[in-house]
Amino acid sequence: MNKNTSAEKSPGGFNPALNRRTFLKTGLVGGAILSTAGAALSLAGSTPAPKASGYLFFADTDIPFIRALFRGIIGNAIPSEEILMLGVRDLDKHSAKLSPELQKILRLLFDVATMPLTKGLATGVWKDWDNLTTEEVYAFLNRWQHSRLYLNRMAHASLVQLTSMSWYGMPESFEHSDYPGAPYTSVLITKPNNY
Amino acid sequence: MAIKDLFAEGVASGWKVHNASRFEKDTTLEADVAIVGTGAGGGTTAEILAMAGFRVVMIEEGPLKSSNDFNMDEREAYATLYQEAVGRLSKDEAITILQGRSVGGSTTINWTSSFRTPEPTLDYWTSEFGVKGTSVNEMAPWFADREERLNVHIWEIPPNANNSVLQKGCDALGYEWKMIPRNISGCWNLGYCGTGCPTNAKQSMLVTTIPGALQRNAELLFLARAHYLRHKNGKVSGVVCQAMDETCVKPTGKTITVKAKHVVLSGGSINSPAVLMRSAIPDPYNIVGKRTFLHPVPMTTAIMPEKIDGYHGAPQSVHSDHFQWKDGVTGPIGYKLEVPPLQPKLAAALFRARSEDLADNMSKLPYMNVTLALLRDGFHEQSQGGRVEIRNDGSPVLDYRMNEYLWDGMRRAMLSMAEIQFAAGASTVRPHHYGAPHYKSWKEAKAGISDLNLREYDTLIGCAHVMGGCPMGEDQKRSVVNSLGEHHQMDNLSVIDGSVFPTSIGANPQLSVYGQAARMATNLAERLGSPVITRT
Ligand SMILES: Cc1cc2nc3c(=O)[nH]c(=O)nc-3n(C[C@H](O)[C@H](O)[C@H](O)COP(=O)(O)OP(=O)(O)OC[C@H]3O[C@@H](n4cnc5c(N)ncnc54)[C@H](O)[C@@H]3O)c2cc1C
Ligand code: SF4
Repeated sequence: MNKNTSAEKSPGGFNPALNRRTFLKTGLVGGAILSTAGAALSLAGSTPAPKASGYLFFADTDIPFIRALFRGIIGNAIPSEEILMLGVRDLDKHSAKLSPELQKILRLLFDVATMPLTKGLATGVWKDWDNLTTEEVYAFLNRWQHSRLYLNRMAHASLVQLTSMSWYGMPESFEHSDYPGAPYTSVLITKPNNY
Repeated sequence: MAIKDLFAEGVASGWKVHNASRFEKDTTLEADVAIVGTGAGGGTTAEILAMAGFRVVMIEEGPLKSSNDFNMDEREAYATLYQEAVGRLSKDEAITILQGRSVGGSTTINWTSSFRTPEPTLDYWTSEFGVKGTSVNEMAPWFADREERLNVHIWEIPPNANNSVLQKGCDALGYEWKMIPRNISGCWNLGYCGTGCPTNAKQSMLVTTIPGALQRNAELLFLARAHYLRHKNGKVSGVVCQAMDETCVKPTGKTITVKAKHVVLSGGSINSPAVLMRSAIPDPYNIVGKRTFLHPVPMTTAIMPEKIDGYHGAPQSVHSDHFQWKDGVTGPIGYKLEVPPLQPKLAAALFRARSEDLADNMSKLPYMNVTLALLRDGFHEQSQGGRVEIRNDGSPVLDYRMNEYLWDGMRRAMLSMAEIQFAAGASTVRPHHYGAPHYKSWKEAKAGISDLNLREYDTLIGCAHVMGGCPMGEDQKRSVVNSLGEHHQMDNLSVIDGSVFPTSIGANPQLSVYGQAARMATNLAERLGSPVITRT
């Protein structure tokens, strides 16, 4: 059966301990265009951006990007801006529970998608994330989903999975999914031991 | 409180249970046997050794959560009870890997299906891998023993509607199906096994063997990750553990050393090989962590005309082995068909859809049946499994690559599932693949699925059954431990968990782990009790 694109396999030497530079070079942008940008990012990255106030994982600069992700991935299932922000909060909380290695990968992805030197080239988006129309967010996600470069497709699949899990785990989304919730809550929901 | 919490009562009665995240200084414990991991293998081993009179210390990386903590809340459960907060992926991030990480291991969050290892699998181990003492007849008493201990019996309540779809479709097509045996006692038929059973009905290690061991003076150390084994001249002297913070994300900096006469690794696949690798335990033939298998899983969604409510009712009660062995044990990959539970957060993770497609799928959740296939990997030269690697920070990651052999199985399984779903009356069927439409008929689905460009990231590849990586056998060149789980190179080290399987199982693996663990731990108790017994 030859339906499967064995032509484009992930490179054998794929190393998850990517640094920003190899990430840019091998994947999101490709080529050597960004040797200076990559170097600048590595420098910038040596002092991690401070967390946004009230957040466990996201920096202020991440939040417009995350908001755009929710708009693009959850789309018309978002009832209001306020509930969208609950989704952002939930993803923040969950991200802080991921293993350090996954947190590192996510951090890298957010940096590349938000830092001025890399954002445009990596995502094809030159405006502020907050100023995109929904169609423009869809177009960005489409570019990554159908990209020739496996790293873009990988980033797309992971972001969609994380974002949709955060959203549809929230009670605020149950109206849309028509999920009635757990049964026998009055007997079965109990105070945790918290050992 | 209606349901009694075993740990709340046990701890009050003096069980020795230590939360390592609260340790303020480095600590040393001593034991006859230290067991790393408290899942299917570790829990079983702990009880058998404690009953034989050994001083047992159980070491668990994850938190201690029990029925009072289990509130059918997906958010809480995935963040606390799963490896890497349910974020574990294969190295290329193409495969989502579910594994447990709390006291009771994956048995605390598994779906209760309990099958004996299929006979062709056991035969294959004997003939191909030189495993001794594990023929069907030799294993039968061990499985029977565990079935009794864990109250395994065929589920007698009618399947929920999600499982009924599989049953009806198979019936209509003349495909074989059966009811699933489950390890339960007084099950409320809720469907929340995956977030921790709130009624203690599920006979996981958390409510059976671990309390059994604690009752016999064993100690339980949790939020403690075995970092490496201390060893010299072929002998292990203890386990060096990192205390973890209360979210189990980072080490607190405190160290716990558990000195022991014998060490048993029961961290499960990926994790047990990782301990061996971090410890630089001799691996002369370079096999540790290789041949790790996943039962890779494709899924298809059917929208049914009637309400299904797949989030409620025992998650798995019907299975079909119609496609499991029909092309032979070693032919094109065979698969077992089942269904998953459909709580919304889990469901959302599986579709491979976003934007309007995702919103549309989710709005039909109550009408949805999802069917899954467990691909039986490891029985063919084109299926050598994945390889565990250690990242810079010491954590393990599995490098498992798809190939034509596996994709062919993914596609055939999608076709079987779609056919069954339409035969059961589905209005539409959609494979979990980006861009796949909701096919309106079997004819359309057949043409469409045959033509899909299946590939990493576009196609969902799930896994809840990691197996292998420390295969057992008598040939040192091909196995890490002997047929009793004893390490070939080390005198006093055993591996007793799902990592000792030389291939995948071809059925949900928990009872396979219980049976092997009971056999290995009983042998170990005999050996330790009479030190003159010599090893081969
Ligand atoms: C969602 C889900 C559903 C499932 N459903 C079923 C089912 O219905 N039927 C079935 O048969 N099987 C099912 N399984 C699989 C089954 O539960 C596992 O195959 C089985 O529990 C494996 O046993 P184990 O002893 O190898 O490892 P586990 O049960 O996974 O236990 C390993 C334990 O060791 C701990 N550990 C790992 N490394 C360390 C370390 N370095 N230090 C300290 N502790 C460590 C882990 O935190 C974990 O608690 C399911 C699994 C999942 C994830
Ligand atoms: S279905 Fe039964 S075993 Fe599963 S969570 Fe509910 S009561 Fe427990």
